[in-house]
Amino acid sequence: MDADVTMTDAGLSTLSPVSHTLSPPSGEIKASPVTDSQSYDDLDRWIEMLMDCKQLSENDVKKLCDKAREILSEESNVQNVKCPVTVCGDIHGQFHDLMELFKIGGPNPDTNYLFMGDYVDRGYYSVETVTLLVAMKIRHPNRLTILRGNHESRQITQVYGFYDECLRKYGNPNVWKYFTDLFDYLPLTALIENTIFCLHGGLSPSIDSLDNIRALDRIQEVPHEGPMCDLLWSDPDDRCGWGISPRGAGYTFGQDISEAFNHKNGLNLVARAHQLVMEGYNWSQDQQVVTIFSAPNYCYRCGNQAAIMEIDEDLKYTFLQFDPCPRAGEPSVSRRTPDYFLVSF
Amino acid sequence: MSDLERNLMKSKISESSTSSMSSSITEEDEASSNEPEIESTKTIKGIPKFSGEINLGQEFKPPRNRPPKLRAYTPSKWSEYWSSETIAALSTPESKFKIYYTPPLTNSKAWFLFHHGAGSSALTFSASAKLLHDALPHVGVAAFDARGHGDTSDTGDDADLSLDTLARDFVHAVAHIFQSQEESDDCGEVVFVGHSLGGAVVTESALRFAELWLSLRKRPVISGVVVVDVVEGSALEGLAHMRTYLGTRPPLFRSVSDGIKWHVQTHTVRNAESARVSVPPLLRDTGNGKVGWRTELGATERYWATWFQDLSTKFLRVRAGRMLVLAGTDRLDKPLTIGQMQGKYQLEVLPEVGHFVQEDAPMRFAGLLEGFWGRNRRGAALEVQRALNAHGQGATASAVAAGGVPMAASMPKQ
Repeated sequence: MDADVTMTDAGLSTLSPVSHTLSPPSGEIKASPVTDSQSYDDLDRWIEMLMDCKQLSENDVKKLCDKAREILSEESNVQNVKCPVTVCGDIHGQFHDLMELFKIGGPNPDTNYLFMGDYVDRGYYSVETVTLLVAMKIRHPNRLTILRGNHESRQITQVYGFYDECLRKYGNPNVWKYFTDLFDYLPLTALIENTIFCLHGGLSPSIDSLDNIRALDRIQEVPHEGPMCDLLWSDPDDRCGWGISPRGAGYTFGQDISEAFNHKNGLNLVARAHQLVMEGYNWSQDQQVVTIFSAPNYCYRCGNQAAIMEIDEDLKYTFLQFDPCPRAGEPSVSRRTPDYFLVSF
Repeated sequence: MSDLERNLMKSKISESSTSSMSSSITEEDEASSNEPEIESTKTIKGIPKFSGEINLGQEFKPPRNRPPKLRAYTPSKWSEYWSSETIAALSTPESKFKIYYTPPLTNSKAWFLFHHGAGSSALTFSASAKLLHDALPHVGVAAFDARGHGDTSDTGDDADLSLDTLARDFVHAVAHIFQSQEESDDCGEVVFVGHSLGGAVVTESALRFAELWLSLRKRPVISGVVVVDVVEGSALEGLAHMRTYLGTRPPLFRSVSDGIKWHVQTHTVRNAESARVSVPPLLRDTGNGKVGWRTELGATERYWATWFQDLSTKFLRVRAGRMLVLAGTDRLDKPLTIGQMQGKYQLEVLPEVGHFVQEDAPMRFAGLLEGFWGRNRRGAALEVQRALNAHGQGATASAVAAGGVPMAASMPKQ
């Protein structure tokens, strides 16, 4: 399964920012990254490989991450996004389900996508998943937005699988380092047509306006507390007001909080991910908040559906649900007897 | 953020783990204490013995085996970690349950109560309980030897390790602790911490607390339940191998020190400092100059499966703060995976520790408990609410940004 991919050094090093030849769907053109045909050829080749779930060489991953950093560093903490766009939640390395997602939602760049974080950990193909999304981001920067989730962090990925997977597939942690360094540049939130606020986790008691978020210095590891942590960790709750999160990080926030936040910022909706919902999406707090989760049968054992939210030109929402894609040759899910148990109860 | 948590983060992120803990019980001790013991004249297999002669014709290389650490495997005393011990009649009037504890410094009625796993003993929590109490002096810590374990005796039926009986014993122990304090309007609060089988016992105890509480005193509030390194799915799978494992343990040791050495060298306990205090109560004099196992785990086989049945759903039903601490890797079963992804409890996975998390990494473990306490103790939620509502949102923003959650901890107590 670990295809040994060796690629030449030719690639992104030849890329130079020139004007963008695609007509972007949004008015804002940030970095204008790749134009010369050679670079596109490389990128397209890489994307083609990645769509086949083949990993890139370590060297190419480095080039990819360097280029992506240029683009992402130009993006805002509250990245503006135009409709139509399809909004997606957690993926968690479930590569084949991501392919299913593109089948259901339409291929990028024909369909614009906004992913709300948690690309890595838990699933078996974090490397291929995050490499593909980053490559697509570079190829069509204005047609794909990728936000940061709480798993896009050095500390979390060392525990929940991405680090080990990089080590297993590349024999060293370099690729893990390239990606986790890149994660620091991912935008924290996005704003669709000034009315739909998208982020991974939820609201923060330290933040009451979008300008508060714009003022954050995001280029850092996800802290253990404070506004940046909360945006990636918080959850909506049935109880009013702010609560201490049972997760041990972030807060819970009630309907009164989301109503006040939406009202103050002229928003219709907070769209977020972070929590598994059995139907793939879940309205809460009198339709102030929607949760979207895009990893079907999460961890290959939870039995949940996945969903994505299409937003059309008139800002109408449609939810598309999907089930895990049928696949052969998946690594066996059966777990080894943990060593610890052979030691004591 | 608590000091312990801060240290924890520092050591996690930098991996340099240069802790400033004043205590001698740090995880760093592990490396040095794992040096092979060469105090005896015997040569340990596979390790060349340093001859003591230096060939001047060659470059001098210090011997691989450093000079013997005499204390490496000698037993240490419970009293280095706990302030007090007591014997309590918990199951029958004649029963003698051993309880180790360090009470709160003030007359606060806040306690952490620990339950060890099968074949272990109260002193498995020695190092982490001490560190926790050092960090939170107003919180008491207590652990007891369950029936059939450690220095507990005359229980009526040592072999009855049914979950029901163990939960009753544990709740009696909780009541005993609270009865030892002066009665007041404050009913007090507890956090239950259970390792392995103990995790199942504290979960059962928390769910049936009202039913099992027979004391005339008011029942304390359960602020949190912490389960350490046990997950129903993998535990049930592992049971099949338990017999085999028990058969591979040496039945006898020449001395308690040998027993400590075995635990350290087999990596059963990966921290010699912890093993020095936790292993002695696991062993008993057999009368022929040797020591053997105190607890006959083989005799309890009929209970094994019942210990872990429905543990995951029970844990998620506990109405208190919940934390699951796992060693090494995340191996959640379906209910716990869903629960975790819905944010229903705190999951902490500690890499590079073995099953005895509390012994292998006492500082990290105590740091987790301290942080858990800060968020889940009585009134913490209310204090956060008040702090956030007291100010206008703008003012709140900066206050919280500066203080984060633990701000509540620094607020004056009501």
